[in-house]
Amino acid sequence: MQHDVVAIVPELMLVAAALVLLLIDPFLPAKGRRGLSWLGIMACLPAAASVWLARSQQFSTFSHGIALDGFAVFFKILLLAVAALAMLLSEKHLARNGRLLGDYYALVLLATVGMMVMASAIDLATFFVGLELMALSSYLLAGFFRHQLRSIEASLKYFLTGSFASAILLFGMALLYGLTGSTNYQQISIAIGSGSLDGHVIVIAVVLLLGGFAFKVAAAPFHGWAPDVYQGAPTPAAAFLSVGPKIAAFAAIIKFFTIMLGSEQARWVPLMIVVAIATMLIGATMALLQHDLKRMLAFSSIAHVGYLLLALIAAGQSHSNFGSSAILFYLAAYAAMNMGAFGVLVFLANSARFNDSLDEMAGLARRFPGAAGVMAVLMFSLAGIPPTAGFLAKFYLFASVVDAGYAWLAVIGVLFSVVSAFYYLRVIVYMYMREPEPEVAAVMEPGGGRSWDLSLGLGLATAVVIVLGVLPAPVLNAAQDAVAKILGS
Amino acid sequence: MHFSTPIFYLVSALVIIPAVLMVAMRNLIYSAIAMIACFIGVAAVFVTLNAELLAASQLLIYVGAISILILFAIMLTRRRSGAICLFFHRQSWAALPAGAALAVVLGIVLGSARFSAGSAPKNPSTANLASLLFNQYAFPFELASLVLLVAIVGAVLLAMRERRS
Repeated sequence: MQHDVVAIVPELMLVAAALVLLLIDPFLPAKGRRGLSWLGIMACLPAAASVWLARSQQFSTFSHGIALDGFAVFFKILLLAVAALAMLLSEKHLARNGRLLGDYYALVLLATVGMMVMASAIDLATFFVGLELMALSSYLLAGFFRHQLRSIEASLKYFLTGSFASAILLFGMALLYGLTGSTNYQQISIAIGSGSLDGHVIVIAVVLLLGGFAFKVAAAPFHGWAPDVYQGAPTPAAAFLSVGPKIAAFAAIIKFFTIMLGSEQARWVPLMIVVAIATMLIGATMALLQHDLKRMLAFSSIAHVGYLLLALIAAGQSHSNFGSSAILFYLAAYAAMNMGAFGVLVFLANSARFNDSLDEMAGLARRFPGAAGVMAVLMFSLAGIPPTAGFLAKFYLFASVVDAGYAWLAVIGVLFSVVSAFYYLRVIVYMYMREPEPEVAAVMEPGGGRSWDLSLGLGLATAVVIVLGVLPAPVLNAAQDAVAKILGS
Repeated sequence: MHFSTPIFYLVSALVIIPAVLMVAMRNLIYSAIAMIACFIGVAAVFVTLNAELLAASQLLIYVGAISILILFAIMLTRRRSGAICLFFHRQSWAALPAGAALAVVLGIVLGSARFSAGSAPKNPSTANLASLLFNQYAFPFELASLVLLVAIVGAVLLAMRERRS
């Protein structure tokens, strides 16, 4: 019953920062709230440092509920970076909408704690409480602009669908517990591997788990909430919500499906293939039809989830770590490029009367050359064009799929990827080669101040996208190392 | 408790019928009352599983406190009576067969399932529950306090009057 607090020091730091934010916020005048974001961002730095210092550790604690292993280290650092970036993007946008409150950063930090617990949990009960902590904070972030009807609608939709997803997931987990008599991943894996359990119930449990996770990562046919939520949520919150929960959910998915249900891959792989193809199909084709950039990015992120599921199939099928490490690298690249793309929308909304529509991007290169340049790099990366992170991430991912013997799936993935290039490049065409309509031109005049933390965030995201595209080795090695050092495999 | 005992069906009916009524009622007050009945049914399920402490807390917290709060919330926020209706109506034609099919599949598979976690613990006591909560599940138990904190923050954020003019 050793409870080793070392494993949760980073989480405790974030919780402490969140509590301080909640406590001091009511006593500050409106102007004093500027810079509160830095309290949150600065909490992420020592937290990441403490994760890094413990990187060689390899143990489980809290009665085998939490693992401190290479896998957790990779995901915790990635999640902390995502949280810090989200807070960098937020301040000005919150202030412009009259909602500059410390609570926002506290919710981002607490959601991050939930995600970190999800990534390091090796016990169903621990995992589920982490999931709920993340989910509840996310619903609130989506509805943070409560005076806007769309924001409240996003929050309500997210809450209703998310609660159902949690319940479905919990049902699947309850069946696993009923079958195996344990909540510990490793014990469950051993019990299932023995082959003496009721196969029909395992199938039901797998379907329920898959359904619940599909909701959480917005995979078809449970993707319907994503466009509405990302469109309605405050744009910086949408940046966070489109990345953070997916990273945490994929950490859990890798553990659930390749370790806990690893011996049952014959049962879940066919189902996962259907879900992955449907997800890519819906994401890529629906994104073509969108005129609202936030909805376009939402459908594009659905397509990206489809690619990630392909790699999961590879991870389940082959016994090498190729598929899982491709997922980890892809998630890191996806985090930078997707948050950057949302960040450009935040920048435009702060600087002009911008309504996220494609038409308003016309002629952007002349009015906002910096933002247009950043957006162009990110769109190239999302489309998977070298020399960006998106290209290498897709390359490794499809290579892992081919390696696992699913060349035909990789071909389908590449085809959808080609389709997706159309809607990403369309944004670039609008920015650089179109003249804006007169009424749009009037709206898109530069005005309003810049904020240097937003610029810093955009610069960092773009830099990561380019560096990962040119020098992928450190992150790729870290990803391979993380998957190799996963506890209980 | 097993599928074969009549008391199982009685207790199940006590949970399921109010749950269906709660969703189907057009008047929110009736829905809330059906929800209270459903909560009492859940307490009965806990009793049949020998989980007396859970049954007691279910009655005290859910039936006693939360339901009353919800009733107050409905009465205080409703502007006009009776005008509140379902907003998921258009999908019910698809939801009904899908839900029924799921129920049939789950019923067939789980009805004949062999669960190795076994039946209700033989000798449950508050002390045993406490020792589980504060030893094996101490971390998730403490983490749940953060979930509650977020819920409180959320209630304030969504419902409180604007802090600044």
